[in-house]
Amino acid sequence: MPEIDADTRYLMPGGNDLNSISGKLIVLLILTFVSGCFGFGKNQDYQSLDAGKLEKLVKGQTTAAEVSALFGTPAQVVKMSNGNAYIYTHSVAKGTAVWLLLVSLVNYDKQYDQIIFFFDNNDILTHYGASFDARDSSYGLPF
Amino acid sequence: MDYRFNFFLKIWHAIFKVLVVSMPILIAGRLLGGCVTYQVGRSLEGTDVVAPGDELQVGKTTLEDTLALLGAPTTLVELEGQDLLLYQKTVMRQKRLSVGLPLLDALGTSISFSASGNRVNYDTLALFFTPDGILRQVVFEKGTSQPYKKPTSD
Repeated sequence: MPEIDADTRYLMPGGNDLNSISGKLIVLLILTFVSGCFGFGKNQDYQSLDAGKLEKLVKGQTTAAEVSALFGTPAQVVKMSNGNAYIYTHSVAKGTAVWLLLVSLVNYDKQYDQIIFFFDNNDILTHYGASFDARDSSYGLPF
Repeated sequence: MDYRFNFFLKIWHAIFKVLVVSMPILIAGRLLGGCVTYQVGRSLEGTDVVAPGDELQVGKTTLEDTLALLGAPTTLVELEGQDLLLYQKTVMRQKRLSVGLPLLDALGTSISFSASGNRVNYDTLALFFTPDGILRQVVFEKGTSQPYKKPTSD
């Protein structure tokens, strides 16, 4: 192997010298040979909830049957101390997996849209609470 | 002519350098891949739970005020005449290290070691209401800020 003058720098097109290019080539070569690098997944539970339908509800007047007609079958019904609560939910979960040679990184993020309607003992809507966070579910790394 | 020769010499040197540095890493990775694995995982569920402030006052704040302020709770429970609204965020962290020697499979035996740990932390805001919908009790705990490894007293 002929001796190379380390101080001599040859510029390649674009202005990069050979030393920096060889460093990038090393990284590229390693990354090329790493198999199964990335994985993404997305799961959804139940149908999405339409926030606009909440405007059609009138507290003290709307009945449980009318709510069911608007939003469909609730995911859960809970007996409360002074009536019932209908729970409507929609979730979005996003998973990310990265394999880097000997290290694997996995991240899972699940967020919910949820509306809870409270009815009195006569099945009249007394109040409701709504949260819409399913869109905030995201891909990422576990740090 | 000398310039071209030196230029190609430099390129050959760069390629040689790449092979010398990267090949041991690649070979080690290929031999150990699947044998030595370190896995770091995290699972998030739910949004941030804010600490209760002055807007939540026991004996005054109503269920309707709370729903308007915090939105729908994660869980809803009826407890002997009280209604419990639970706002919760869950964070699970997992780390796993496994080491195996599959080359020994050809001999009919194999050695493998693995160690793993999970930790689940919760941010929880529990709000208890009377049947009339008046806030009766507030309990808050922020557990997700605790580190993965925390010294225990026992």
